[in-house]
Amino acid sequence: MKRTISVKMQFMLLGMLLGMLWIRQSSISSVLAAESANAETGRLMTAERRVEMKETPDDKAVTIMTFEKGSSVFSLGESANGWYQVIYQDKVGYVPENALRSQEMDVEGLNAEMAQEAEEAKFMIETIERYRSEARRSKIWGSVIVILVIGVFATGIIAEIRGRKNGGSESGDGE
Amino acid sequence: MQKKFSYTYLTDLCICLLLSITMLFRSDIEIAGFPVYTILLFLIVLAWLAGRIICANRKEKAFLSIHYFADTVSVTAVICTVCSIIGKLFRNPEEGAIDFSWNAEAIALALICLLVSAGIRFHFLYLNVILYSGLFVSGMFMLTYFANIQIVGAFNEVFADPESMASYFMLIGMISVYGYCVSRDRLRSVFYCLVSGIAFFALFLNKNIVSLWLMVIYFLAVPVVLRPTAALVKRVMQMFFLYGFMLSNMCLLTEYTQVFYKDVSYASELSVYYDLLMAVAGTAFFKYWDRIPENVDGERLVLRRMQKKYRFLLKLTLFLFIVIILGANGWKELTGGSGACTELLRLLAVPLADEAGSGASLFLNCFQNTGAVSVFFIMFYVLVLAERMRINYREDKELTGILILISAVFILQILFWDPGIHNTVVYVFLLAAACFYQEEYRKITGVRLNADELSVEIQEIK
Repeated sequence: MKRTISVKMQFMLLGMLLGMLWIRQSSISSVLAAESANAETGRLMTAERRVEMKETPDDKAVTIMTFEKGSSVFSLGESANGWYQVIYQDKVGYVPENALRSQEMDVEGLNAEMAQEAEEAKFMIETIERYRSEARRSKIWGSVIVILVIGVFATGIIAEIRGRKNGGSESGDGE
Repeated sequence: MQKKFSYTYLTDLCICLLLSITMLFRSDIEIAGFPVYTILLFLIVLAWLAGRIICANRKEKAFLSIHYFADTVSVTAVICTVCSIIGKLFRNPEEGAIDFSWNAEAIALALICLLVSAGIRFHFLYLNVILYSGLFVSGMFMLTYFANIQIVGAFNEVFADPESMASYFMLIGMISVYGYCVSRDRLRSVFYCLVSGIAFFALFLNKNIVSLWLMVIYFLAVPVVLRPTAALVKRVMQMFFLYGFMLSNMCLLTEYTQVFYKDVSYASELSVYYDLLMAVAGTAFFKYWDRIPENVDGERLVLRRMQKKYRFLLKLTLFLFIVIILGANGWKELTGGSGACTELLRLLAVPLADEAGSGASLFLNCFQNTGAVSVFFIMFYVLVLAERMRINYREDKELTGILILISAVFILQILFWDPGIHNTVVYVFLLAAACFYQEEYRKITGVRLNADELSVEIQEIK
């Protein structure tokens, strides 16, 4: 009897274990499915042909705008009847799924582009700093030259006035 | 200058206007096909002539009396130019728009010579007016190099012509050096010294090699042309060493700093040679100078032996100048010899030969604009005026001497480039004054000796 009970308990435990495994498996697969489903949303896609973005997922719906071939649009997710919900310039609409293709991310290209943009930004900052320092230097030298010329001018005028006050003739004058 | 309105006052006013607006009123604006400057020049000269006519009517002065052969040539120039204007009026209109501006300028220049010959009183004020306006232009010129400031449109074209600016800065430099040499007032000497420094610096920024050589020739010629008193020689050498010092240190500014916005370069190797030359010249000069006793009045001590040395150096420099120019492109392929002397010769000769060969002289421009007959006439006129200058020259006439020297430098300039109408007006006025101005000078007519004192009889001669 005791052996029968223990065997039954073992089978119950085994069944519980299997049940727990099955539940875990199904939850994992549902999570994976959810993740893969989420992977379909929020990604950049490219128009394979000229296509119209509709207000609702219907061919007869009102056209919001038209994408040319090669245009990049941001997909929010796949809706029913094989339509993608997309957003472009703050406008949401629907595009047939056969008109869009996933854009493959060129990670290395993007990195190179970002590095080049960082270089250009650095160069621009250096150029602006150089222009500022040159403008500052221009002002200083301009002021120095203007003060020098005015000073020499004033020296000449004062010498002329003093010469006339002293009643002497100008230097080297023919008279 | 007389206060009440008279012919003398009108003359002074017209001359001061002519000398001051030369660079200040440069504009490409045209009125009825004439540049504004040409109209102003013609009007000022006409006003001067009108004053002379009025005085002739009042029988205060004679109207343009012909004293000299040069006056006859001037009158001929005016008549020929008027005939040329009449000829152009009857020209076929299909040949294009007729330009009378050159004719107006030629008449104005010839009338300036006639009016100066008729008699003026040359004031030092005229030279000061040139210096004041030159100071303003030099300052603006330096601003374009130091401050990257876009100058008002009228000056952009002026500053873009290095030969015209070289003529102008040389004029300022020559007048300020003379002013420094003869000035007896300390403050005035400081003024002339500062203006000289600014003019030299502007000349170096402009970097016209021929003008740098012509300035050296001017420095060597001053004690030759004027009476070589110790005071004059001392001041000339001070200016000469200032010139050399600034020139030798230009490479420090151009090669080792970044103060200039425009491209100016001076070879640092050449500056070493300049310093060596100045050291040798200074040693030779002071060896002679130390022999002069200390308590001697510099105005009364005349250094004739030094004048001979200056004359020799002047001839040597002129000879070297001509040889380098005649060598032309041959200096670039200079081979043979070794060491510093060959390198120095190459560094000095090649830029000078290149620049002398690249410019178009005033005669060439006249030939292109007016033809061969005008060119020969101008050459003849220049020779007549040069002869007139030679007759008018006396060592006792200080102002006339310096005007003759400035005119000689001008005649040398026009062999290499066209100075432009603005500089030509000022130079022609100074040239006419050098030819016709009758300067008063003192001549010692006798020496009386007695037991008590030594007295000298002096006669004022005009």
